[in-house]
Amino acid sequence: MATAISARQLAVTFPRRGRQQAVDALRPLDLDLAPGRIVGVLGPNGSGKTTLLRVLAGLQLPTGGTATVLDQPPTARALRRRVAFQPEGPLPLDVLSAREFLAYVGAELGLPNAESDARAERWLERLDLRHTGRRWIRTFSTGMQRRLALAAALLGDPEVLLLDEPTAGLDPFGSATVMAILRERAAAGTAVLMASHQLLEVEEICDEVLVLQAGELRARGTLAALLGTDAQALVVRGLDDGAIARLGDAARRLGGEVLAVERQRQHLFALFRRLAGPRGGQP
Amino acid sequence: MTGLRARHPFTLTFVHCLRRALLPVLGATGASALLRTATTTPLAGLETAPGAQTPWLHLPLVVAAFACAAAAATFWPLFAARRPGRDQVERLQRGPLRGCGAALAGALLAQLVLTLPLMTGFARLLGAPATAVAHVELPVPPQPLLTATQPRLSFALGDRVLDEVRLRPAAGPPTGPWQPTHVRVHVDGAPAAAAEVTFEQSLQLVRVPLPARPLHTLELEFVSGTVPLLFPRGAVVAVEAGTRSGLWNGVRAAWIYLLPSFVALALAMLFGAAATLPTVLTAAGGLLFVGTIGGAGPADDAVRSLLRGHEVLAGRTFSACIPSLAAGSLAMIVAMLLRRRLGR
Repeated sequence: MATAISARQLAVTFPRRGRQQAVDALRPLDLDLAPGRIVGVLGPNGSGKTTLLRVLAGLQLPTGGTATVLDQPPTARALRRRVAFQPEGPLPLDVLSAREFLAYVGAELGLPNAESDARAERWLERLDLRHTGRRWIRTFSTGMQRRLALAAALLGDPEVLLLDEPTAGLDPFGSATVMAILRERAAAGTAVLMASHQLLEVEEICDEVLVLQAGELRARGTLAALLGTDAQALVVRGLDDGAIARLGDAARRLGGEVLAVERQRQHLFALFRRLAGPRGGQP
Repeated sequence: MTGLRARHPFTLTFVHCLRRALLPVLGATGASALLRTATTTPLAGLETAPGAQTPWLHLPLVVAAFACAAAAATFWPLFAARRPGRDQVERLQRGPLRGCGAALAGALLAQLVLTLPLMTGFARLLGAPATAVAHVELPVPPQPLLTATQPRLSFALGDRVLDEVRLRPAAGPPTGPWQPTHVRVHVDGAPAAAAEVTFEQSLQLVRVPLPARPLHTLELEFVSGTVPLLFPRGAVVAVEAGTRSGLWNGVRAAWIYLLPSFVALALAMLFGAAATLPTVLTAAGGLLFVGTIGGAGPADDAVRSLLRGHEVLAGRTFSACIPSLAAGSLAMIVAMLLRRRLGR
């Protein structure tokens, strides 16, 4: 399978400035991402997640190693449309409306006006932003801005998506929509590299994860490999404590090991969804 | 709607600047008209002279320049470092200036749209004449001193058809008991209509009518007196025959008034590679202040010339434009090279 993103010994060191020491934002790491795969980048604040994404988006030159995206250097102008980057934080040009902003993005990506507007409407509908009308982006909530940023990233139908905290500030419905869209994009062949602090979402959607700590790659692999695959859960209902104990004994007799016996409760999202009710356009 | 929507940095910035600056400019124009009416106390007609109305025309013009520059600098994220969404725009934009050049042009066009009615309409309300006459400063000789020991000074007229020449020399200390200096004026070797003129004090204005035909040289001859006369740059001004459209003069003045904004935004573009928005706004605001009401550069001259009915680009205003154009262009080139060198 062809590689969408490839990095070898990729490193970024921010040079010493005045009294500030030089910072190794990214220590040499190797990375390969195939089309159709979703890879999560995990790590605490300052661990190098954003730096990695900025290098791959061509916004930061590496100080060591090499990186290619779709077989081209990340700074290649030809990648502007094929690779989309959704940075963290507020959107630029925040006195535009959502439609005006997407029209600007579409024009810069070289989309014909009519096609750009049609795609914009489609994503605004999908991401529940159609109702925003002529409202300025700066009046949007954080979640609305994140959804609009994703719409902008998806407008050019990119082959690689680089997302920095795509679900930060989103309500559970918004997160679920974003997750669904990313799954669809991956199924269509788009390679997705997303930095996130939302561990549950990463666990739910990512095929692989990278764990960074102080710019160093601490772990890399599929979730199954990292989390272990030999543990299995049997969820039962209607048994009292004595019956559960006997069930445990039976498992041990069969050669198994009982790792935990815990009372399972309903998932918070399911409760939220039940209480808040379904929202139009949400999966 | 599809075709009408602004999509490019140029049109987006133009629309944004126009929206932001329109009301302030209208307010400033109204305030200027009211203040002028409230504070004018005619005294021998001096306060109502068009040249004295310069501050009232400056006020809305300065508001337009400041509002458009500030709107552009705050709107386009690449005019300053660490602006929200800078990465997104930087990645999308083509060209070495990453859209800053287009944003600058949009801001200048918005300022021009706001400034044109002021220069052509409001200036007339303030008393600017309907027509303009070219006033040309004649190049001065290497030693522009007229004394008994250096009794002749010659000025090239450049084959112009002139209405008159205005002499306004500075007087030096008398070389003997004070006696006014008498000067004979020759044009192309023949005495001018007012063949002999007298200077009694420093910066005394004397008008010498000239024949209505193409003229080559003007010669001043010291006749008598003890006051040496110095003719620095601007002391000899030729007034061309014939008038030009005052409207066109206003349009030219409006273009010239864009130069301080051009310099301010071009330097903002340069500083913006490293400086944050407050620094950029302060620097741009300071440059605009100096370039407009501060009197540095051509803007102040252009406004004064317009109100006096002098053709705007005929005098020293034209040469005063060159440093501003050069400074702005140089800043843009350096900004371009710097961004390329920084490699984003």
